Amino acid sequence: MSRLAPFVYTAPAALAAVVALGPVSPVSAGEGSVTIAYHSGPASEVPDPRARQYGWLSNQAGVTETLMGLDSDLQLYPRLAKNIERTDPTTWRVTLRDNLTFHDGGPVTAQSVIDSLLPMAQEGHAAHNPRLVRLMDLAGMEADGALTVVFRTNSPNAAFPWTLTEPGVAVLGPASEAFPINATGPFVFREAVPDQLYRVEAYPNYRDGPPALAEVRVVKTGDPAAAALAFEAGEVDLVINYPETDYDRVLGTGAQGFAAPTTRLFFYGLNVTNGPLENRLIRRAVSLAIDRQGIVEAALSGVGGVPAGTVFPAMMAWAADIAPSYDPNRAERLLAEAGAVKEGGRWMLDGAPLEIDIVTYSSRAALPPTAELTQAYLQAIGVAATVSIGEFGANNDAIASGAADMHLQAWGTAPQGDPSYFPETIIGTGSGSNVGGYSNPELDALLAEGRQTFDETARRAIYERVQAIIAEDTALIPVFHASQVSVGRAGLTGFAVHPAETYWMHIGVALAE
Amino acid sequence: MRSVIALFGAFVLVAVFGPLVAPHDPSAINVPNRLSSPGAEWFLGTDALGRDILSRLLHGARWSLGLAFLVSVIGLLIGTLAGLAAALGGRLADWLVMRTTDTFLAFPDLVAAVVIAGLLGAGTGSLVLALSVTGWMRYARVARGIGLSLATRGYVLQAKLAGMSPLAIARWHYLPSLLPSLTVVWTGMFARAILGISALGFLGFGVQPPLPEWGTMLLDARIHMLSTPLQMIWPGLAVVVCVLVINLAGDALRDALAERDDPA
Repeated sequence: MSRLAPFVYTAPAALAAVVALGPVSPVSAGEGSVTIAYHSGPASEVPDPRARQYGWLSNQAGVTETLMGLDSDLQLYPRLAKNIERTDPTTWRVTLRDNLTFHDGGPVTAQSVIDSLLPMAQEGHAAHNPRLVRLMDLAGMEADGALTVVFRTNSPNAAFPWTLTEPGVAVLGPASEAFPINATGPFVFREAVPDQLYRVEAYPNYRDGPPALAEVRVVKTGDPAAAALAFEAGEVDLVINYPETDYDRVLGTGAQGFAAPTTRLFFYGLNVTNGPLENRLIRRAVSLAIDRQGIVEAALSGVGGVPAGTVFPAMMAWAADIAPSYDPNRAERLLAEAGAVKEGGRWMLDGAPLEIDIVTYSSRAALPPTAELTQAYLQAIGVAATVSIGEFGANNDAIASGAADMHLQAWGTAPQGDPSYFPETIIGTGSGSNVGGYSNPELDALLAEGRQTFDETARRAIYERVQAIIAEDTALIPVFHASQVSVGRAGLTGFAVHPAETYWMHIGVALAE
Repeated sequence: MRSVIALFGAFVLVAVFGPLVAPHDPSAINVPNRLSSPGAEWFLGTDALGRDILSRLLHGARWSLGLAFLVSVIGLLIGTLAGLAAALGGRLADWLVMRTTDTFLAFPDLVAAVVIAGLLGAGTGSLVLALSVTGWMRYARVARGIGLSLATRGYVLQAKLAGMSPLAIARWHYLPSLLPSLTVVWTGMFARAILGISALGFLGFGVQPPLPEWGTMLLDARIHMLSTPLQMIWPGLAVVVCVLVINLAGDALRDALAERDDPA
């Protein structure tokens, strides 16, 4: 065989690839590459943004976009949509911007939006997402002309426009080999290595202009300490969720700090169906025994958040005015009221030592020390406590089976900016994530009412009552509202912490040499 | 030789009596004093939750060395029994036991221990089980090798002819010959067990908070390794020095036994 043979065979393929890459090859939009360390990574080689929470990464990396967006004040804005209008309690008309195109050059139309969202309801489809289907609660979709989609919901759904900001409700065009995720954002998906790497390249024809960066690489770094070391070694340019306890030191080396409040809540999910926390008084006592200010100082070095008395942070319009309480004496009085007896400095319940089993995981640096501090605060009032560091799913299993009582976890309370999502998901009766079995008919009724109430003032009153019930009944134990603490290399410009944590990359992010 | 044995003895004493001389409660959290530098009150400084590092090291010695002792003794018992069974039980037993041993040896022991501990869940019990299951094979090989060489010795043949049971032969003729070699192997395995316990502790599979153990102390400290490296250096040093001393003691023991067997 001729030495030229390999070229003869590969040249047409290379040419075809160049043609297929179309508007994005060669990359000429921007310069430089940014590598980001993040604790989560892609689950497969082509993670469908509509499935599970995979849309977070594609939205953060600037690949996918949604019909509506959230600005940095958590206010709604039309993103791919030009406007949204409610014509009756169950009908929404969303009109798309003019001249939108997918990465492959195809037009974004009302029908392509419908085609993108329909598979989410199809069991067995890669895009199947029962969580989002439940949140959207769609009875149907239809195109009204080329650019208007009419959404009909099964019942009045005030959260509907907010749900359209959820990264999983991404608008995608037909996939191809060149564009396995054919989206509309300023960056084009290029490669994913499961649990390791998510790589995107600039899309020069983006409607608002080409991105300043040519490439963004998101590297999964599950251990925060490893992320800090990778930054120190110059292997990454930006660490999302940098260890708070090392923040001051790294800023002294010339790095840039990005710390700002988010909607993320560190809280204890509770097993309320069997075990000591079945008793509301004991739940309340446990909550009162926790010195949240001490936790914020020790585990977050003062930069990672503020003590939480309720689920929504003060920056959200929905936040109720419920201050965190630390009152060990009252906690002990409540334990006595619950029927516990203190013997030899230890609380006994039904003749056995009162013992609380705490579980948590370690992908966020503040979780293990927060659990250990909680253990110490409980022991300080005479309640025995154990801490086990495990894996999130296994911890949930332990809560569901009664093997553990409290699961310390960190959730974005309003990734769509709306207050309905978090309480419905975590403590709504029968919700898939309500593994502790909490059930409160009054709360369920309020959550249903909140979802169907369009008047903002009335809605705010409903969610204030929801938060009051959560506090009174101790349906969960909020610990602190977290700030996102990230660290970037000097010369990185345009990046800012978004309170929903779902937006990182846009055309203005750049890295000077 | 004497100095090594003395050092080894010192570690044993620390493991046994260390908690009695620890200056502070190893679990007592003191947030205002977190990450203190070494000083008069906190001799080696404090950790991220304000706990005294020296006290945690002293209490941790009991966990690290105690669990390693337990694991290595369990391995010694299982391995010796398996080796003797192979040596005394005939060809079929020999084949079965040694192929099982080979199968276990085919897996990297730490990786296998991580898998087992991961399946069983974090905790002291699963830690001991995981390391014991993966730590008996070397004893079995040594016991079987020496056992086969003893089988042709005159006093063993005489014992068989006299009608002694295999158990009695094992007890009175095999074990006394096996013990010196197994002791040397045990020192190495003890050191490996310390490393294994620290490794699993560092990976989060070991002793759970707030109990101090050197590996879990390393795990807790890793987040501060750039800002307060002493947090990691103290428990790391404890592991390194302890393993080094045990290995040196094992070498010394081996040399002493070789000298005894071959005085010329």
